[in-house]
Amino acid sequence: MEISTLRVITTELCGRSVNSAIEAHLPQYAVEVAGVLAAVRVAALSFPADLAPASVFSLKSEPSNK
Amino acid sequence: MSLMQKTIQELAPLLQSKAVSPVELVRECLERIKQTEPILNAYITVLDKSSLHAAAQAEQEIMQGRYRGLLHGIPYSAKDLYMTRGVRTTAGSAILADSVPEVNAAVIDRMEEAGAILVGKNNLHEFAYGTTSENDHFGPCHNPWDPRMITGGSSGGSAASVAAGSSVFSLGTDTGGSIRIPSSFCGVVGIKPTYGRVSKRGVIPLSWSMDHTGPIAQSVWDAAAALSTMAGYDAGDVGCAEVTAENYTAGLAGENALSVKGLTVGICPRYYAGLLQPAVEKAFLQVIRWFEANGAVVKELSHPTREAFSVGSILTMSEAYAYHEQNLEACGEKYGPSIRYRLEKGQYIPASAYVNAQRLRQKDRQIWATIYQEIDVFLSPTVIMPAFPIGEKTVMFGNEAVDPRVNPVLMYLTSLGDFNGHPVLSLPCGFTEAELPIGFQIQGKPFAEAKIFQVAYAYEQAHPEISERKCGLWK
Repeated sequence: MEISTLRVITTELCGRSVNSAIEAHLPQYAVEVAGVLAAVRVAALSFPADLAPASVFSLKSEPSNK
Repeated sequence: MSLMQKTIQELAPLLQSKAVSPVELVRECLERIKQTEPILNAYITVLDKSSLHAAAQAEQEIMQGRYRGLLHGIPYSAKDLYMTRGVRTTAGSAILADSVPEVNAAVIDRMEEAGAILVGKNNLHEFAYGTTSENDHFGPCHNPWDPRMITGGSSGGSAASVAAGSSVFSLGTDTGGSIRIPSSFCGVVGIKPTYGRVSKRGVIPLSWSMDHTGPIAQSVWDAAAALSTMAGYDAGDVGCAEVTAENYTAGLAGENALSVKGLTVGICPRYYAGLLQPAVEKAFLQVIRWFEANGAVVKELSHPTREAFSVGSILTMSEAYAYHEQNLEACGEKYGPSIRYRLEKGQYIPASAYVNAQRLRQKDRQIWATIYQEIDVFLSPTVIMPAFPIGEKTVMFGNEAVDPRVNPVLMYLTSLGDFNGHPVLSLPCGFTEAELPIGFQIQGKPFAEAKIFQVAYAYEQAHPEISERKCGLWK
């Protein structure tokens, strides 16, 4: 991932400023974010098209088990 | 023997029968805090005046025959992430150093109603976003078994205070392992209940869809007693499940409570192959042998996989960034360097990746639901290694040296339970040669906390040489 891409995301998509703390870590972010996004892309290849996201806020629809 | 070495199970009858007064007990607790804090740094705020006032009130009620139940008059502490009315709640951060909430977290209210007495707010990893409890603003938490070592985190002060007897039990939170990791490192019992089992209202969030609240205690019975009070539906928390609360201690009586015979136990050694430190591997093998020797059937599984571990982090990264975005822009310099590093990364996760991570979570839950048709509980070590020195720059994750402050190495085995939302309890199963505790975890089906407590209790009662061992601060 290009570092310049991350700068654009920070300023134009997130409306933030690229401060020195972010700037210093952009090379690491580029590597780590690319890695984690690649992992989710690979995982998604095996999803059936109609797989809905997990119910974010509750497991209450799951059967209760004793 | 100090009263602070006793469990809830031992103290409750003494308080109910008026053999011990809540005032006497809280005074001992405050004295113990005074003795141990210079070593542990487990507290950010100690509530000496208000706790003595509450103790006097509890004493009066008990003397008048108005005993409220198991927690009445018991001193406890709470991670400084739980909002407390009129008492500062810092989240271990300079950003909230002077923040004084006007309301209590729902669970703090439940404790108050039960008559438990809050003695202080525990130190933690800043905003709960880390697993070492090396706090940049309030100083690191120190491990009661060896103060040179980390406590684990993020509920490090909670686990340290329970292990050292400067609280009888504590309230923690768990987003990737933050109850279970410090419980394992400090030799105590901690349970992350099913997602939605306990209200999170009034607890400062790290990641809404991954956060859980639960107790840390000296024993399985005590954790069951504390969770029985914490659990229950709260209409004020959209994530809280409408499931009836249970009395978990009721299942820990009688001969059947001590048996694991006929239980089917799942394990997945391939998930952590080559990653466990030898002492952890040895202790966990002994756990498996004990289950087998006592009539349980051990079944090797091919799930979980590393997919959930790597993809699950997307959820916390994205949600934590959303919560902190404005502060990162306005006063980012107030965050500790390692947490700021981790938080800022969340802005680079696209929405499609977040949604796909939640889809993977659904798939993962479906797989677990199928697996649980064939097993009763799933076991694994809690952490791949024991506690290591405060300030250690790197630790080994397989063949790779990684920084434990920014790499989720300590959450490798615990974060799976936050991802699938199942209940998981950690309890001690051994010690290293250097006398550092090692823990293992028991995962069950959603809302099957009672079963987990029963299995854990059976193991604990069969191993008094482990469960009754006290840390060096008692010597």
